[in-house]
Order: sequence, then C-alpha cells, then structure tokens
Amino acid sequence: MGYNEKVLEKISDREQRSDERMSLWQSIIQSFEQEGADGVASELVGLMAKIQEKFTALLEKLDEMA
Amino acid sequence: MFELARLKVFGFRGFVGEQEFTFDRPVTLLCGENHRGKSSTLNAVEWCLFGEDCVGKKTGIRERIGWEITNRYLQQGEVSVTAEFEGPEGIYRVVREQSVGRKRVAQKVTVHLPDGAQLEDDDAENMLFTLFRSSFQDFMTAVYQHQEAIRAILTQEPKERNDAIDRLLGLSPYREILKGITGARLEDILKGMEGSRETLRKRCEQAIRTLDNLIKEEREKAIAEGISEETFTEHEALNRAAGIAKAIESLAEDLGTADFKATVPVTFNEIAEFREWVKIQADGMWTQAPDVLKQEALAIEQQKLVTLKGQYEEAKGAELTAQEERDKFVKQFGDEAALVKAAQKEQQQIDELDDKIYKTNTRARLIQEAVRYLKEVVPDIEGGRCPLCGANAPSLLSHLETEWEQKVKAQVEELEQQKRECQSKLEEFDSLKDRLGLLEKNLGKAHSNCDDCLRLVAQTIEREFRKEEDAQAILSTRLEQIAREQKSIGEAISKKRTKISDLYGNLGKLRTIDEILKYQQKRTVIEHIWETKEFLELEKSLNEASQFVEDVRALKVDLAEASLEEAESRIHSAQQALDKYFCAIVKHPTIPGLVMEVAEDSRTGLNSYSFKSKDGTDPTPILSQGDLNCLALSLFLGLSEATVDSQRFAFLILDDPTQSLGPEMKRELVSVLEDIANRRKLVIATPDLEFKNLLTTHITKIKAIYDFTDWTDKDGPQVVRTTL
Repeated sequence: MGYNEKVLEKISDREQRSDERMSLWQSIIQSFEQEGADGVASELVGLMAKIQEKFTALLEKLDEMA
Repeated sequence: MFELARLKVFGFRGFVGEQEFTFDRPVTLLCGENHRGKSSTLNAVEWCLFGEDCVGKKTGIRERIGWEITNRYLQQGEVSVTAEFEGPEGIYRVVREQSVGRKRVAQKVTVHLPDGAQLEDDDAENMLFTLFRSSFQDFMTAVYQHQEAIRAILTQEPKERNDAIDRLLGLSPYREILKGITGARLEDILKGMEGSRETLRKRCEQAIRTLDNLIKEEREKAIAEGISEETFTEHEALNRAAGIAKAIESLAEDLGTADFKATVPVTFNEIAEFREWVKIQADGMWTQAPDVLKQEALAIEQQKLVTLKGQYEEAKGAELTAQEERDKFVKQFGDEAALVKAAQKEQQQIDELDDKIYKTNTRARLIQEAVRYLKEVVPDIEGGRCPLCGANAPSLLSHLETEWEQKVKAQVEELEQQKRECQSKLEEFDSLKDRLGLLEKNLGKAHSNCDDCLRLVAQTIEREFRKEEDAQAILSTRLEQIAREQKSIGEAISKKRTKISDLYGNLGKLRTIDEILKYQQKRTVIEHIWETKEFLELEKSLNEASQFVEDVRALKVDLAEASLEEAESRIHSAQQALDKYFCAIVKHPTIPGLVMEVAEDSRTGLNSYSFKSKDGTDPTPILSQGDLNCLALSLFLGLSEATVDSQRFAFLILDDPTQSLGPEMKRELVSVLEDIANRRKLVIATPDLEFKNLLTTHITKIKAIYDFTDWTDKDGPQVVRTTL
C-alpha cells in the first residue's frame, strides 16, 4: 500500500470531515507530485490566501464602519 | 518474478549513440572510473520503468532536481531506453522514449507482452504497475541501492541522517509532504488573522470611548449655549431646520432677493447639507445686498481719504518748514544775488593785492640784486644818502640791507595777510551759496510733494482744485459727509444684521445638535458592529481558516502516524536481516548486534531514527563512516530480504556500495553478496578495483563484466564486455 492509500485510510478511519480532508489531501498529493515539498507549501498557502482575501476585504469594510 | 534480461540505451544522459547490455549471467559487473557512464546505465533501468516519477524534488534525492534525461550532445532522434524482463510467460519489453530538446516533452511508453500484444501510454503505465506492483519508492528501497542513499547517510547530522534513512525505507514522500505542510506556516497566517480581528475589537472599544467623550463635550457646550437636553432628538433638529428655512426666506426678502425659497430637510441625514447650503446662501445674499455694498464702498473711501488727508497734511507741514528755513537764511545772509556780488568784490580785492605783492616783490629783488652787486664791485663803499629812505647812512651797504629786510619784507607780509583774509571771506560766500542752493532744493521738493498729494486727492474725490481752494478743508468736509452716510446706512441695516446674526446663531445650535446626534448614531453603529452581516461573515471566514488549519493539522497527524507505522513495519520486517548483515560486514568488537528504532519528532511530525547495540548501549558515537555505510547497505539488503516473497523483481542493483569501506569490510560484503547471489541476480556498479577483484575471485557464480574504459562527449561511454 502506497503512502497515498495509507493516508486516505487514516482520514477515512477518523470519520470526522473525511470528505473535506480527502479532497484537501488530493490537492496536496497533486501539488507534491508536480513540485515536491515547495509545491505543497505553495498550494496550502494559496488555499489559505483565498480565505484570507475574503477576510481582509470584510475587515476593511468593518474598519471603515468603525 | 522478473529477471532483467537486456537493456538498450540511446541518447539517455551519458549515452550518445546506442549501447546494449545483456544480463545473461547471475552476476553483472559494471566497472570503471567515475563519470564513465555506469550510473547512467543503472538510471536507464529505473527511468524506463518509472519515467517522471524518478525525476525532481518528489524523489527526495537532491541530485534528481534538474536531472537531464536527454544527452546534451545528441543532435537528432529520440531518447530511447528499452528494457527486457524475463517473466513467467516469456519476454516483456518496455520502451520509453522522449523527443530530443531542452524542454521536456510528452514521453511515450510502450509495453510489448510475450503474446505479441502492445500497450501504449496510460495503458502501458497501468500494465507496468500490474506486472511489477512496485512504485519508484519501493524500487529504490528494495531493488536499487543508489549511491546517493549511501552518501546521505554518511553524516553525523541527525536531521540529515533521518532524511536519508526515510529515503532508504522508501518514506521520502511522507517526509517531503510533512516538510511542505510545515513550510506553509499556516498557523502563523491564522494567528495574523486572529490578531487583525482583535485589533478591530480594540479599535471599536477605543472609538466608543472617544465618541462618549465627544458627546459629553458637545452636550456641555450645547447646554451652555442654552439648548435644552430634550431637544437632542432628530425630530427637534428637523423642527429647528424648518425654523431656519423660514428665517432665511425672511432675510432674503429684507435684503431684496426676489423669489427666494429654502428647501426644508425631510430626514435627519439631510441636515448637514442643509446647514451648509443655508450658510452659503446667507453669506451670498448679505454680501450682495445694496445697503451692505454701499456701506463697504463708503468704508473703503473713508479709509482712503483718511490716509490721503494724513499724507497731504504731512507734505504741507514739510513745505512750510522748508520755506521758513529758506526765508530765515536769506534774511541772515542775503539772497543769491547779494552773495554773488559780495564774492565778486572779495575776488577783486584779492586781484589788487596780488598786483601789489608782485610789484613789491619785484622791487625787493631789485634791491637785493643791487646790494649783492655793490658788495662785489665796491665792498668798501663810503657812507652816503640812502636811495630808499633818503637818510644819511655811515655805511650805505649795510644800511640798504637793513632797510630791505625791515621795510620791504614787512610790506610784503602785510599784503599776504590781507590776501588770506580776502580768500577766507570768498570761501565763506561760496559756502553760503551752496547752503542756499540746498535750501532752495528742499523747498522745491516739498512743493512737488504737496502737488503730488493734491493730485491724488483730486483723483480720489474726482474733482479739480483751484488755486484758491483749501484741499484740507475740502477733505474734512467729505469725510464728515461719509460719516453721516455711514451712520444713516448702519441704522438702515442694523435690523437686517440682527436677523442674519440670529440666523447664524441658530445654524450654530443646529450644528451642535447635529454633531451630538451624529456621534450618537456612529456610537450605535460601532456598538452593534458585532451584529452586522459583515462581522458575521468575518467570523465565518476566520472559522473557515481555523477549520482549514485544523484539517491540515489533522492530515499532518495522519501523515506522521502513517509514516511512523510504515517505518516501524519496515524496520520490523528488516530487523533480523539488518542485524545479520551489519554484524557480518562490520564485525565490530564492541557492538554485538544492532537494533534500530523509530519515534515521531513531536515538533515536526517527522520520523526520528536511533540505533541501539544489543547490549543496550548507544553505538552512534563509535560508528565510523565505514560503519554508517555498512548500516545503510545492511538496511537496504535487510529490506530487500524482508520483501523477497512479495518482490516481483528477481534482481538487485547496487551502485558504488563500497564508499568508505575498508578492505576487511569489502571482503565481508562480497561474502554477503555471494550468499544473496544464490537467490537473486546481481547487477553491481563500482569504480573500486579492489572490490572488482574481490567480486571476480570470490563470487562463485558466472559473471559478465562491462568495463567502461572511456567516455567522450561525442561518443559517450566506451564499453567492453567480458565473461567469466
């Protein structure tokens, strides 16, 4: 069993948010296979940046209100 | 089980032309100096089987980053590697090709099956996995001992060594992904977001405190202005605005602005704009009102005339002073004509005195010459009658000399004295003439200034002055007239002024109420900011980010656990063989046997390996470079041994396994390999001549030896095959 299957099994065993985590794991695997560890880091930073962008825009609005 | 039977390489890495290798003996040796193409030959096998999987960072092998597949000197054609494996049904041929070029293009892989079937690309890749059931990681763990794997373990740095052992165990992907996850520093980003939210909270609290202070100040101010607290409502503010609208309409009527209408604000939010509008309208009407314009014009004229009157009076005073000074001088010393006449008279006297002096001097020189002559001619002249004074002198010459000295000289000196006196007077008259000139000039200038002022006055009051007219009196009369007009206009607009003052006062009060209400409004908004849609969305984003970080953290835990379990399982399965091979090769006098352990580094989630001697002591401080190399080899051979039942490949590849090994260790390694050769085919690459000799003399199986005798960039490796 390869590392991919091993981790998928672990995610599945935990049950909690398994669908979301499997999808996240697939993104990690894809970026790893294309660009290695740096690819994983930039993929995760990119995903976080999407949330952060929305957060920053809302924060700016609230700042204006305050 | 699959045997490696044949390998054909074209244009791959060190190879330029085509080179074929046949693995028809139990042991195949690839021998020769470094950089002759031995490793390229072995790399060709793994590239043929695994393609892109054995290239780049994901391999965990530093040397594989930027790995060039195509030979730099290859001019045309395609890179092509063909590997033939002898399996249960016959020969399986795998061909992997890549177009020549710097940029990696799509590879083509073909698998030819013993029944003549041919599969390509994805089908071919799937078939490779079905046949060999091996990933690149499995292959490099239990089939192909890379020289890089040995090199990496020969370090005392625990982090580097853990990295290398993970690689030997085929766990690099776990390690690399964990490194990638840690490198993303998601917790730091989340902390930054939480910090920003906290800053917003503090800012809101501060804003509420500031607004409370402002409201308090404005309320106090309002009460001091006579505004009752009950009127601090939007309704009252709108009532006040309506009152101001009426007031400005009434003012417009008084100031003569026809058809002026003010729009009363309907909502509280319109009040600020209304206030501004009223202020502009009131200012405009006031400045354009005829009474106000007239009053301003009179004030300007008054200011101008007062200034001119002052200037004129000053000029007149200066003129009078200049006239008095000049008249006083003339009275004392006479006018210019009198001074000229007196000077001429003095000059005449000087001329006459000059004449007299000349004559007297001529006579004196004559007498002096005569006395000198007589002294020379008749020095002893007798007494006689003096030709100058007529007296009888006993000695005429000495009498004449005395007479000259006493009388003629005194006469000349007196004349000179008279002349000096006349000259002094003449100079005095010249000086008086100059002074008089200066006084006349001053008087002229004062006259001119007076005339200039008069012209300005005439221009200002727009009338000509006749000679007999008194400008000062006329100016005074005009100023009195202006004062009267001002008084009259002032009385006329005082009511209007009161009206506009009241309007401004009411506007000020409305502003105060407006400010208080706005501050209160703002405070309410901030106070309830936590209930706004935006803040709820912000919380949602933060929760999303937090959940994302939690998911990644959970994956990291899963990954670390899986990696640890995998490491434990592999170590467990290889432990016996590891110990056996390590003891057989190293024969360390103080290490009776080796036990390998693994634990998770709690900070990074990465595997951390340790070794214990069977007697419980820590062997690490006494392990030499050679020992560490043996450890790496033992681990590889142990893993290979442990997986022998499930392994589809019936051969082992070893690339330069004797790095840092001493002669004794090399001999022991050959013994181990002799044992392994009974169960598996061996392909061994080495630059080590001593090791080659040991292999050829101590391995009892028949062997094929490929000697890599030379390598050139044009032709690639020069290879000679012999068999033993």
